[in-house]
Amino acid sequence: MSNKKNTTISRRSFLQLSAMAGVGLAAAACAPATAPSTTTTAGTTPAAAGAPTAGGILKYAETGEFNHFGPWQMGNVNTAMYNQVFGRLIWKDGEGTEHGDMAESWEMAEDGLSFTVKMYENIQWHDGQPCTAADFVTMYGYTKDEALSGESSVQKTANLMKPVIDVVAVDDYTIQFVFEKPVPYITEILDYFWAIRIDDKADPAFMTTLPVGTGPFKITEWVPNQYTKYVRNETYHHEGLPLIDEWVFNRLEKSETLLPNLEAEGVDGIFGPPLSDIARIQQDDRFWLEINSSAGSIFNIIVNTKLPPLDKKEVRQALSYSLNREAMVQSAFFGIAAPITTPFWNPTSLAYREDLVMAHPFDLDKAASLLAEAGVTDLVLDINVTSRWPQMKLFTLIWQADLAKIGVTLNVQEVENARFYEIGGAGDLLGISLHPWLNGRTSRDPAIFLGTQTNYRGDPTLNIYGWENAELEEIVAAGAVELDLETRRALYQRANEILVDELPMIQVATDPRVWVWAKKVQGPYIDLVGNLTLDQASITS
Amino acid sequence: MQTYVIRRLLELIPALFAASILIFLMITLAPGDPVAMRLGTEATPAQIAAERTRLGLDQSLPVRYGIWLADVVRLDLGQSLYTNRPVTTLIAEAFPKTVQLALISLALSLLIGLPMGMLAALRQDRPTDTVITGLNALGLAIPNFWLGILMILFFSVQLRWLPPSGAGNADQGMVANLRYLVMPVLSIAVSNLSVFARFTRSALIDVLADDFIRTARAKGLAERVVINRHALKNALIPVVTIVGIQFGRLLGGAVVTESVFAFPGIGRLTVTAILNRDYPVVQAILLLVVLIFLVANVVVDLLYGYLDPRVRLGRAE
Amino acid sequence: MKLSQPVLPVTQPVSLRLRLLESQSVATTLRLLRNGKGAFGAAILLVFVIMAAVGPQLAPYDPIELHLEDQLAPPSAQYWFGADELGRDILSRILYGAGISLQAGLLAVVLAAVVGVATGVLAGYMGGWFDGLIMRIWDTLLAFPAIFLAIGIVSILGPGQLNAVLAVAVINMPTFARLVRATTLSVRNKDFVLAARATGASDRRIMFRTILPNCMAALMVQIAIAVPTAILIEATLAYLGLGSQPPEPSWGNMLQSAQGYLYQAPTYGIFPGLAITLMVIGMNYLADGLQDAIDPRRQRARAKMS
Repeated sequence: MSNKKNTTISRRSFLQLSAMAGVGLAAAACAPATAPSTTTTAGTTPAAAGAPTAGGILKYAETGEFNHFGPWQMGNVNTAMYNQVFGRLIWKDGEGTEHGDMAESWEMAEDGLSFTVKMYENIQWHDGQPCTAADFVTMYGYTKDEALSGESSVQKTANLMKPVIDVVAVDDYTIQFVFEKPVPYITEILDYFWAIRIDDKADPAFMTTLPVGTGPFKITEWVPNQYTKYVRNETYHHEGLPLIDEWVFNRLEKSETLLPNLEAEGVDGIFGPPLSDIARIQQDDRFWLEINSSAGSIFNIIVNTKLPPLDKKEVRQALSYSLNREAMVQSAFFGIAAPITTPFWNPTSLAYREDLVMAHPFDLDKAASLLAEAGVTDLVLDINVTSRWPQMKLFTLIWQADLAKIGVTLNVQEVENARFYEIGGAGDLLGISLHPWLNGRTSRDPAIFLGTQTNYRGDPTLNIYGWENAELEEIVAAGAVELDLETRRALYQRANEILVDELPMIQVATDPRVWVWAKKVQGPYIDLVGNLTLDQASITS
Repeated sequence: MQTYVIRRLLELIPALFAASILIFLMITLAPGDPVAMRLGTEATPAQIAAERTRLGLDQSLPVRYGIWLADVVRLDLGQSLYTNRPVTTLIAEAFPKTVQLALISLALSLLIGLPMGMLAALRQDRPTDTVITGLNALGLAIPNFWLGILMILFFSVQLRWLPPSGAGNADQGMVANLRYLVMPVLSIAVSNLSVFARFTRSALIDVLADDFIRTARAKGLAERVVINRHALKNALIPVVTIVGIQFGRLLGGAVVTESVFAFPGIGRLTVTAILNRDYPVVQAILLLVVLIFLVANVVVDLLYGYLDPRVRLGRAE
Repeated sequence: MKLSQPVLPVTQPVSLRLRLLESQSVATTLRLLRNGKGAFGAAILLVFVIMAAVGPQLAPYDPIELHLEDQLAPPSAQYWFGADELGRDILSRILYGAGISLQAGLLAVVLAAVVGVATGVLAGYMGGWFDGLIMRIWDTLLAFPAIFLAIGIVSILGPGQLNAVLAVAVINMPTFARLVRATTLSVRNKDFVLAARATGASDRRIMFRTILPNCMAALMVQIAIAVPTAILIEATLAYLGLGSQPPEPSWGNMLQSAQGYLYQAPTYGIFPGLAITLMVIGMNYLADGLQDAIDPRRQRARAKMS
């Protein structure tokens, strides 16, 4: 009589699903650089076939309030609007294939010390001003600008652009990125380099004046707590796009209300419904789902390596073996996630190694013996969770019950969001043994991942949790400038090995992004950054 | 009379001052880092520290309190740490919604609660009274967040008549947006009307037991006249005070109800701000709420003094 | 709203007065039980007390035992009230939760009473700057909506059962203090107190042996009124995530989780709320009955009407 979910997804089939989704979307996405209305309908939708019709208003909803309209922020809430309002020179689709948005062509120099991009010549900002190479020089200038040194979005981009020592406008429409040492992953960096204009340095978050961009839509209105509105950019440099007239991005308070609103046809698409609702939606013929892991967000656990006995890697490995990830994926994540022991779980990553994806299958006996080997008895650990991520609450309780079976006490406490972040931001976790966390960009080039996710680094000046590993640091340094693909691959696979063996962070599961669309909506796709793109979205009547 | 009013209002100032200290301490002492939360999981300690300095959060507590107080006096309530929007704007958006909720709920609960209480008092100890008192007990005992959940279960999940939360979009029009008010109003009204009913009942019972009613009856006046002209008027005086106090409380935001229904009023704004450690927002709103509360108390006192002829005449001497 | 009158005749010696107090309590209890409302309330309370004491033995499952394969199961022969999001038996959790709610409510109010009474009697008796200071503090607390204050206090202390209890206690302290202070002020200059002072009794003896017994009746009533509200506020804090911690089966916490699964498991949200409501109704009836029993004038007024 139990209410069993009947959509159990094994890890392998899940990864296959994501890959298939990526392929399908890539097929749909491969055209945008030049082709107008003959673009294919999105291949993955089980929706009605037929050419997409132009026009219409697409209504969409997420939870969370806008607190930053700049795409460089890469924040949690606003990402859905980035690709709609802003353009990039080059971007990558879910499969990792490069496309030009604002760039017509691009080329890496022979010596690898510069990268030249030729822009389209008919691009305009939403306020009518022409967009030229000079604008990119200005943007690069923001990362060096004193006035913007306190602005987090600019600092994030500055960090990403570190290997670039100069940006030069060779002519009006040719940009050259100059390096000191080769930067083989420059296109991945450019994937984040949306074209923006910070006209008012006092408002880099564009909260008082809405931003201008070069994307397919213009942002026209923001009613706080309610919605933002976007209309078609009539001067968009890709002819025939976008297909819809207007996009309304609604903001709802509670994630439980997303699906009811969709079912009541108040909106046509939503993002981030509660995982527990997914099973019943998958049965519903009126909607189709997009379960996408391109953004590469994962759930993991920060280990306080400064706190004995967690400084012993055997103890950390024991903890990894004691996590029943398969069971957690089924119950805490309602089948929507993949269990992982490495951050490099995505087959497209250079660091990928199949045997490391699930290197520590659930084995309480092994965990117990590792603990005994390390001479640890009566271990008491604590961990905090917060309501922002109910999955954490659930999986820590499952872990608690399992650990109790081998004599380890795990105390779970729920804290408010602000306190949760405070603990995570403290190098010593404020004396707490473990802290659930999330990291992103795991699908990206490992140079980017290791460059931005400093809690995976072995350099105590970068890794606030103080873990040290000289070999990893050498790999990071070498891999960032190595032009030969296979050499890079070998280097990063070794990094993968180290991280899975030493476990400064214990991986739990992936954190896929879930969209649900009404059948009549076709054509939305997700890029490698994990963001929604609507230039080819259409509404069939 | 006028000097009395002015004196009462002036007395509010030290009370507000004391409250402001408590408010400030309460929220700044609470552990948690709003800056780290806003900057996200990828923020480096250097970025967080820089942001804290920019926001003035690295100064000592007395200094921060002084700055805040000086700003408040100039009516500068600061900016939200979370959204960077001016606090006055946030309050200006949320307050009318709470007022809307409070007024409609109050009207509804008065409309139902007063007659219920009167009926129960007039039929005291008879079956009607037992039923009404029982319903009151139920209304007072139900946790309002559970009532909210039950309503969502019934109206949204089962019947699919009403949206489970939020307040609707401005472009949907007034009437459509009323749907979002139905359940929150009902939730609040149910417990409020029980308070009014119970209070009216005991006030009326007390008055009916008073000597002057006995006198009126002894004089041979018809029962209806006794009740309408003498009893009710006097019973309503204390009821006015409880209505005033409840209204003041509701303006402070029906915190729990707004949370259950994610209704974007003052209560929800405050709870979210406290949980996010959004210091400027919490400080400003709590100060405002306390002010409203204190003023409501003064108004109610004055009203009571004005309405109750014993007090009014007594004071004229 | 009326000040309570001293219940005892003013000229009797202490020992006789204490004995009268005892017999007063007996008489009150009898009146309480004879009163329909009071008896009903007492009965409900008894049920919950039994549930708190014996429930853990009767519970079919361990309340924190997980059965992941039965996530969100509807009510059945196996799980009478269904199972929650981790497959834990809801009935068992409710049985265990009774003790938590009762304890929290009673503890909070008793704590509030102890502190409130102590400060109130001291303030009323000593007067002067102490009176001014203490009452100013309590008055400031009273200017806050209770729930904000509770959230604020728990935010400082950190979430947890004990801290929630402390928060609820602090909210109630001003009321007790004011009540006792008012009585103290009215009784301070009465004959029997002056007489006690004349006989050389120490201040402490006067305050706690002479003045305090006069407040007893009103205190009892106030405690009875405050407990159900305390239970409700504690449940509210738990609902907001600020009360007892997982995996403890607090009713308010259960409702918070339930709200996330209203569409999948509608019954999950019903039972914990029902439990809270019943417990609070019982205590409210008990409080009403107690009020009637202690202050027989209210019953006499009714007799006049008919």
